[in-house]
Amino acid sequence: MKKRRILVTWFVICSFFLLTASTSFAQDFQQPSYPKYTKQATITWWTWTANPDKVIAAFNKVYPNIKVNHPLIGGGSAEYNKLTTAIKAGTGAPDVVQIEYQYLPKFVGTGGILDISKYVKQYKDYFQPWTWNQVSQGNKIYAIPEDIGPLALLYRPDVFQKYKLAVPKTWDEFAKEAEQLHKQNPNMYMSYFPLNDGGYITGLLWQAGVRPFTYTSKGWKIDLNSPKAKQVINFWGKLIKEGAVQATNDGTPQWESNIGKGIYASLSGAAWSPTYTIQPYVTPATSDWNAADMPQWNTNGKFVTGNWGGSTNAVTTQTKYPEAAALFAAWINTSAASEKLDVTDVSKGGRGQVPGNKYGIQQPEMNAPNSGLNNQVSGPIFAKAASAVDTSFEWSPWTDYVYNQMTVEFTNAANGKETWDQALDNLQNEVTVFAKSSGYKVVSDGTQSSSTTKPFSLLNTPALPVIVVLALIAVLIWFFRRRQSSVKI
Amino acid sequence: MGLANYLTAWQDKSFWISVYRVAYYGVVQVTIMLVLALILALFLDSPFVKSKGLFRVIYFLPYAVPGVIAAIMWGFLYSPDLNPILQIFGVFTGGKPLNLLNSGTVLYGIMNMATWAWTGYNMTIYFASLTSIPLDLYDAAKIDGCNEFQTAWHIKLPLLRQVIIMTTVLSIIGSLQLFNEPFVLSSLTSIPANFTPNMDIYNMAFAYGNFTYSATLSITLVLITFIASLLFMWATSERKKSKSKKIKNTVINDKRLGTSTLSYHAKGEKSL
Repeated sequence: MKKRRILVTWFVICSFFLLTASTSFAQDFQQPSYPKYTKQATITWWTWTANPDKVIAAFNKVYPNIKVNHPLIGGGSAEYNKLTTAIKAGTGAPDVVQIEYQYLPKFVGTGGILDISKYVKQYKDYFQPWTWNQVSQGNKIYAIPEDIGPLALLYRPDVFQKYKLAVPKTWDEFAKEAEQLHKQNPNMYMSYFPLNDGGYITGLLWQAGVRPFTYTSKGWKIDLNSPKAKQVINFWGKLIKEGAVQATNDGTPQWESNIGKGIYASLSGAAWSPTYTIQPYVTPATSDWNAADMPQWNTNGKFVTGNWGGSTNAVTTQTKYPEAAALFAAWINTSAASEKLDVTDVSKGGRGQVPGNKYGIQQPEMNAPNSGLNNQVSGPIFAKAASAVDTSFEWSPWTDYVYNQMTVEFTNAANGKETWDQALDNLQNEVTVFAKSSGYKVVSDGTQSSSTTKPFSLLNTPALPVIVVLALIAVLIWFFRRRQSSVKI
Repeated sequence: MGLANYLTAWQDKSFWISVYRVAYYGVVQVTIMLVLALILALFLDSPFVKSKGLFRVIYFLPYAVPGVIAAIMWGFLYSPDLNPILQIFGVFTGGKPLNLLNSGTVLYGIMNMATWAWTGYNMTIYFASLTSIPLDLYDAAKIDGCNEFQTAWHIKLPLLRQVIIMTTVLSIIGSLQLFNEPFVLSSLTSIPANFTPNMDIYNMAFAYGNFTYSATLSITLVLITFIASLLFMWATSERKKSKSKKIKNTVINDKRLGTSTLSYHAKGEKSL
């Protein structure tokens, strides 16, 4: 007995040292311990990230009794529309589903997302605090952060060199160089402003410290037209008016061909942008891109940047195996094996992401040359950005609507139909009305709600011309028919 | 929620803007399309066109292409970078190629798509009813010395009246329900999710998850479509029925009042 105990102790000590020795390089975090799961379970995972099979295979090495299916479901709005419908229908939703941070509150609001705090609260310290903030409301935890999209300035060194521009440190410098570049070559623009991309624009607002939505115990506080937001929007509006920045729609063939032609000298991109927005469209002549820190609003202050995109894995309320599903969501976003896959370039069989946890960004793969950025080692820049994201940002449950109205209003503003200030004011009003019509409590500041109580306010409606025109037509028809029928006799 | 949603819909600026947009679209597109279809059908029915079957197939073919696929196809054709023909239009617009995907012009782009797809369809309907016109009417016209144009104008068109009304009503309904083309184009342009009423309704339900408000907007759209179609049918319906009613009414009125008013004029009626 004694001999065996010594042996066991010796073995445990040895393995402990072996384990720490093998994982101790540049790493402050212990791997979390994962609970045992002995039952049989089959769960479904909706995801759009690359190489999900490899992630599942790694998971099944540890949990062979949890079978994971991942049907091809499409990314972004395709998945969200299916999920919305499945939640409303009460059946057909997956067990684990990938959701971007900005859409999580919406699905939580519909009651489709399970509070998994009792399974996953022990993993909290493992994540960047702000990513954890975005998946939790109070004591409730609704998802596990997967990746993030901290913003950096992606620029073309060859163009900057040719036109003798320095990589801008502040937005003022950015504006000056934008004008300079456009003067030297009218066919080139310092950057573009995607009128149809609320995520991109929100990232820019985020960096400036705009807090459009705040959840309070009394309801939602909506503040889309704050002075800070107006400052950012007018900054871009002015550059668009001067022609130094092109107002465009990203994700369109037109924009793709513009990237390929190389008419943009820079763009504000997330960690995933080199792989998804630059690499697929550039030609050999325009493929020289690098990453740099985001320009700053304050010259001497703390370095801050925004975030664009990134996603989480949530468990739906329709799951039959909540524990297995929560375990899967946690494991694929925390375990060493999975994190290695997470940070490995897509071209090398990984998922090519900047993880939302503290562990993943320390993996050596993060410092591998980025094939999307001319083999620049961009990891440290994005890691620095990840820790400089202003972390108090909150999302509303109406992100799609907000993004859509941004497209409408900013397109009007770019076409000169309204000022950029008006665009934000309209946005504020529209989102407030929509939030109320969706049944949310909105903490009003007292200025907008008073207009509805005015007498005849019902007549002050965009529907009135329709009614008037229809009535006029009806009267005209009636009048003519009456005349004709009496004349003919 | 309930009725409050109707109040919101009543004041929903973006919804009504989308209604105006499709109304404008409907007036312009339906007119162009039906006039074109009519001209094509009359040409096909005239002796000027020889291989009728072939032409019918050619014009009808676009309708056989599913709307979504057609929209994708046109979307790429409209991209000035991919379509060299659009560069030629630069002569008129001062160097810039015509961009039918701009937020200002995309509605006309969609009109073009719909016209391309549906003209042949309407033409076929017209042509079918043209073939059912009794041939002795043409013979009579020929004896009276009508040329082809006069036959078309005085005989064919009046006899097509009912069919034209039907296709117009269908087209009005169709344009109020515009969905496929802008929905597909929205990934290529800055077409917002509430570009047309139907898109607004779709996104309200399936993207924003606001099903109750989506239902409110649907019913509002049904009402608008119903009223618009009804007004059009009323405006163009045969006058016989109402005429006989009028006569009856006035006769009865006369009898009751026992007056000897001979005037059936509107003014006369009022004076009674």
